[in-house]
Amino acid sequence: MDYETKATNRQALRLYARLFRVLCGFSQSEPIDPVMLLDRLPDLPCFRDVGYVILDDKELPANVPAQCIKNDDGYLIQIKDSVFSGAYKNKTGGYRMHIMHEIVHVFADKLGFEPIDSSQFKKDIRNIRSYLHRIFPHMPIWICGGSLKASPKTAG
Amino acid sequence: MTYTKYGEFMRILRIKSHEVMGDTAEMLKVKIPFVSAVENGKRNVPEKWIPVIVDHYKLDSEKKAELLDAIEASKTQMKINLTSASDTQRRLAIQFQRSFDNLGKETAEAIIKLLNKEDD
Repeated sequence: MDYETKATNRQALRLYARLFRVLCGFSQSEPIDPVMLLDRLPDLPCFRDVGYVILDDKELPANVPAQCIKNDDGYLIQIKDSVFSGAYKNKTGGYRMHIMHEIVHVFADKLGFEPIDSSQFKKDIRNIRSYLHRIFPHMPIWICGGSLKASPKTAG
Repeated sequence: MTYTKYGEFMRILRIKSHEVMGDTAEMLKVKIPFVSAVENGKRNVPEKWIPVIVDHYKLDSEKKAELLDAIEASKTQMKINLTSASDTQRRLAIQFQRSFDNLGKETAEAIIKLLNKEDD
C-alpha cells in the first residue's frame, strides 16, 4: 500500500466494472471464470499484450500470491503455483480473486490508474479512511468486486 | 508479451476444448509451472508429450504437422550428434557453436543459402 493512484468514486468504479465485462465479451449477469479468462486474454482487443506464467511458489516473495509486470512487450501476470492450483482444482474464491485482481490491474492501468510514488501519501497513510479511494491496490479490488458480484452464479 | 508458437497452439486447443493450463498439466502428468515454462519458451517441449497431445485432442494429420512445426519453431536448445561426424564436420559444429551468439543476419542468411544448396 505504498502507492496511491488518481482519485475516483464509487459510481465510476461501477461503470468500469460494467465496461470490463463488455470488453471481455461477458454479459452483465453471467459468471466470470478468471482461470479460463487467462487463456482468452490475447484474443481480446483490449488485452492482446497480456500473457501469464505460473511460477513455483519459491520464485515469488512469501507475501506475493501473484503480480503483474509491465514491460516494453506489454503485461506479464505471474501467478504462484499454489494460487493457480487452488483456483483451478478447488475453485477457492480467494485464489480466484488474486488472479482476477491481476487481470484487472492491466485494465486499470489502461484506464490511466497508474501507481504514483508519493512520499506525502506514505506519511498520511495512517489516516487511511481519507485515502481509501486513492490506494493503488484497492482500485482493482473494487472493480473485481463489481465485476464478479454482478452474477448471482459467481461462487466462492 | 508473446507466447511461443507451441504456447499459442496449446492456448487455442485449450480454449476450443474448454480446458485450462491445469488440465494440460494433468494430461501430461507434470506440474503446472513446468507446462507454463515450456509454453513460454523457457524449456523445450519433451518429445514424449507429442503422442499424448495428439491422442487427447484427437488431432488429424494436418493438425499434428502444425503441432510439430510449432514445437520446432519454439525450441530453446538443439543437440547435434557428432558420433559419426568427420573431423571437418566436428570443426564446423564447434565453430558454429562458438560464433552463434555474434552471428549477423546477413551471414546467417548466407550460411542458410549455402546449406540449402548443399541439400539440393
